[in-house]
Amino acid sequence: MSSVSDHIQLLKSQEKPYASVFNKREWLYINDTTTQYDQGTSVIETTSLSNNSKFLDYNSAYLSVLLLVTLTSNTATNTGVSTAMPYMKSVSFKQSF
Amino acid sequence: MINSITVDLYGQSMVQQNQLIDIYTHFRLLTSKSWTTQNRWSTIGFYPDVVGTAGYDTANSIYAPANNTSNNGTLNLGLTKRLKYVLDYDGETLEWNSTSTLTNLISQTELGMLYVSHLSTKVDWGTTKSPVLQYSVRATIYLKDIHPLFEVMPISKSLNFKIQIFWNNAVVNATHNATNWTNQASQYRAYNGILPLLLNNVDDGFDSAPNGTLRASVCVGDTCHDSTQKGFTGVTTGAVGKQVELQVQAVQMLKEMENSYVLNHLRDVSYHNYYLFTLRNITGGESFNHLVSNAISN
Repeated sequence: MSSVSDHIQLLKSQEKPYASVFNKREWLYINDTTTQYDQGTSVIETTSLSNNSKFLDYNSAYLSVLLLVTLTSNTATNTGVSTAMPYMKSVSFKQSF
Repeated sequence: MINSITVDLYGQSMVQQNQLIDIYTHFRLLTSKSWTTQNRWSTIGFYPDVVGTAGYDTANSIYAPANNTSNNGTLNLGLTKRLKYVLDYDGETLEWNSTSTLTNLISQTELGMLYVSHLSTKVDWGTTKSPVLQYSVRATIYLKDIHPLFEVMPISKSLNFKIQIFWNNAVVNATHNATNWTNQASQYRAYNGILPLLLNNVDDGFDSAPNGTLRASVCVGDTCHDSTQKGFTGVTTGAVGKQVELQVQAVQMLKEMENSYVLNHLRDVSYHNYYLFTLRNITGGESFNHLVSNAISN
């Protein structure tokens, strides 16, 4: 065992315990206020959250986005898609460009 | 999926619209994530592509039309992982199969109520009409991954944000000859939009399909807005909710901590921003020198 790991182990043993800072956590959510998904835009206003006098942590906030992926033939008739439906693992999302 | 955003705080602009946010965000994720955070990747639909599988081939077009780059090879572990993030049909998974083992535990309707990303529509009309596959996906996108402003935002009260989001809704047509991809064409947001979808290679994703042209679209919301597909018989709405949600954590401090925090209520918030510059009148092969500053572009 190296001497560095000795020191780390000793320091960890000497750490002071952190006292709790928060006595309650809860998750709040709001929907987007203007939805024009067909135009590819939406607007989220946090007015209702800001009026409730709670401390909010936007660092950990996230959007929960619903997506609809549709896979068909290019025409209303069946061309290019097998009748031996369904496929598996046909379409995914990119991770790079 | 996000092309760009604007953020206003009490009517004052904090983040201006910049259409390269999707590329910037992915660059940050790819350069900041480590294998120790791997257990969280499925939450945000992230798994890096295996770069070694990217290809540009003039002969083997299983992956993409000749002379096009592709990254949908069998050996791309990232793609394989990401495909698994959405519950797909593998013969006996969902309730279209009477022996589905999953259906014995939970019905497809309840999967939707739990916002589980899954294959929500599977319609086969034989040779008369287009079959339809629809995936209902709930994606989690952290605000701090969208813009650095939210990364440095302290715990605060009464912040009245207005966040406008521009989505990358897109459509792709892809033609194959039952063995190789032969042509592809995409429609997406006019200015710096991208196609977020990645079709698998012909062998793995479309095995036994006759030659022809496929159409795939991705839309935010529960409705398919593609002008062609929405008229097809069997195309229906998504199963995992109706609207985008912003989830925010609220905390209640211990009384003495809150008093102390409020007394020192002034905070300097320093964050990175980025701008889009256009360098005009540069022809191919020409060298150029430009000073790129943080001032607003022409």
